[in-house]
Amino acid sequence: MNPAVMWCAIYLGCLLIVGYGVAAVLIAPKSHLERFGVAACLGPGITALCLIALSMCGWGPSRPVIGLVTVIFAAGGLFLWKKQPPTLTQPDGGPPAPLWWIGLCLAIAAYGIFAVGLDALLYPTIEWDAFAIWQLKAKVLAVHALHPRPAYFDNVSLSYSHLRYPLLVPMISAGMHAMTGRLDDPWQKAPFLLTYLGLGAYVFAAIKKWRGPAAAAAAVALLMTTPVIVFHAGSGQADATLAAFCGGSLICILRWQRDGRWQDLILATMFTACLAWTKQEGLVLAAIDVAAVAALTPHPLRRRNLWAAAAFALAVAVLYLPWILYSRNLPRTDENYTQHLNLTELAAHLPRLPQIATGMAGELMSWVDWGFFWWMLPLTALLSPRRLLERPIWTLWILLICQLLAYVPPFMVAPWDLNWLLEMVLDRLFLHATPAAALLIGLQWPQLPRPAATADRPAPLVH
Amino acid sequence: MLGSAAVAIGLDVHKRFVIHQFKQRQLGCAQTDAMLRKASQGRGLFLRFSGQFRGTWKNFPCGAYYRAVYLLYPLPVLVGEPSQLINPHDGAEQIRQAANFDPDGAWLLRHGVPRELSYCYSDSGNITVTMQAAAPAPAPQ
Repeated sequence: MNPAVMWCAIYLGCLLIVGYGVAAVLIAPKSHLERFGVAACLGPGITALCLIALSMCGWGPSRPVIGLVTVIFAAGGLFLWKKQPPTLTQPDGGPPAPLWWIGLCLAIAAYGIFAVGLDALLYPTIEWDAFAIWQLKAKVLAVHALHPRPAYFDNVSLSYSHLRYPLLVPMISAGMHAMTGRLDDPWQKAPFLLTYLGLGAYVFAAIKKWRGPAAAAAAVALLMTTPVIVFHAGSGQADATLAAFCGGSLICILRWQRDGRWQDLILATMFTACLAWTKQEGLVLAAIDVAAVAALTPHPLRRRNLWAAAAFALAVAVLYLPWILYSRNLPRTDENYTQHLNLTELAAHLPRLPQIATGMAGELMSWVDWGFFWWMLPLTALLSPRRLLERPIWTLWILLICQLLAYVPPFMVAPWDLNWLLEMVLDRLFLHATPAAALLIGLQWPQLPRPAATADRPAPLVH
Repeated sequence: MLGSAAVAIGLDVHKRFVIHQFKQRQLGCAQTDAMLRKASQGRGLFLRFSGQFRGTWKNFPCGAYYRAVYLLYPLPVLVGEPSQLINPHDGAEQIRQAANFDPDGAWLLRHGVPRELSYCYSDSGNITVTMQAAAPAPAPQ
């Protein structure tokens, strides 16, 4: 066996073990798919954050360091899991699905997994942003620890790679370089297949609990085969990973809304922190998450909820603080949106709004980029209009609209040619919103009427 | 829903296995990578771009520079002075302006880029590629 293949497999195993260390403590024991989803999404994120923290102390990623992180999370997870009291497991909502439907949706999703697997495992890194930005940073992190600061971060001839972008995704790949011992390995994108699978598993498990397997299978089949996701998930860029963290945080926030369990809030904190560390857009999404925890719960003004929202915001801020401190002296040579996002500049660029609105509408309707994915949103809403009154659904609609609207101000003040910019980035920005849309499609999925004997009887909770 | 999945899968199958879009891009990248490795020979590389790259080749200097930096890292790759700013939205223009920079062998050796790779775009749309090693300046007599 090729040693690089072996080390790649070991690294992927380490990422999963770290994720399971968290999932075992925070997810109900019988939800295997949910645990896998959380492990596959959060494992790479948490591993990367730990590697970044150690790198900031002078220990760059290496096999012993990755092994240490893995052992700590495995041991911690085992210890806390044994002490965990038994938790109630909710049975699936909705009627069971016919086997042929599940098989069909699985086959559709399987094509997505095949295509992303090809990109992540077999094809070299050829996407512009992947090699110019994210995988270049991965090489920097693999070669140099973050302390003392590598020359890369002060090299303005490399400013095109966005010196101030956060480092979570590059560190995931840097860990792979460290494990294989090669900078030119073809496996640097393999961990992103894991996050893609995790996103599908977690969204499926969440919708299955609320609406049953038929709706879950349909939503996930759509999500995992949209052309934009299939294109980006295995390419080595950060957008699909951001989408995975976004989906995870939304599910946890909806659960917090429904059950008020601190385990869901902790998971939401982890996902939101990973969001902030992935891309600049993640900061905006993190702010939206904080607002959602504070305002979109059944009793927002109750003391418990206010404390929870404050703790959530503080925890995310503390986890992000190291990057704020590290990046404060880095050269500001790229777009620098924060400087331009003020009322004066926004007012001056108001004439851009129609062009932005047209561009966004056009992207939503683009069947080349999305198939009919976005058309399913209003369609499923129209087929089940009463569902719009359900809290999880209108919460998701609010969060989705906030997320899409949040992208408008940066477009207004961007120094680039607007037509070119819209064409280049809109598909990726909407990619970030696909988990919210998939959750909505699943929750709004029309259900066939149940047989009279079992209709409307609440299912009992089981241990 | 099935229509959406069919469209999505059909488009991907068409791109990957019918028009071989990914394979063509991989081949193009592989050719560029082979050229860069051959030019570098395990050492730092200076890239020169001359001529007015236009049409489908308009962004070639940018792409070649970004690719070289990624492929050869941690070896240094320069197109101009190390302090030359090449930022995301003006990179193509900045690299075009750097074409006026003509360092001698001593400069190249001093900055750790002893190998040169030149791309020259002619009016007929052809690109001529030359590789050479930097020669140190002759000792004063």
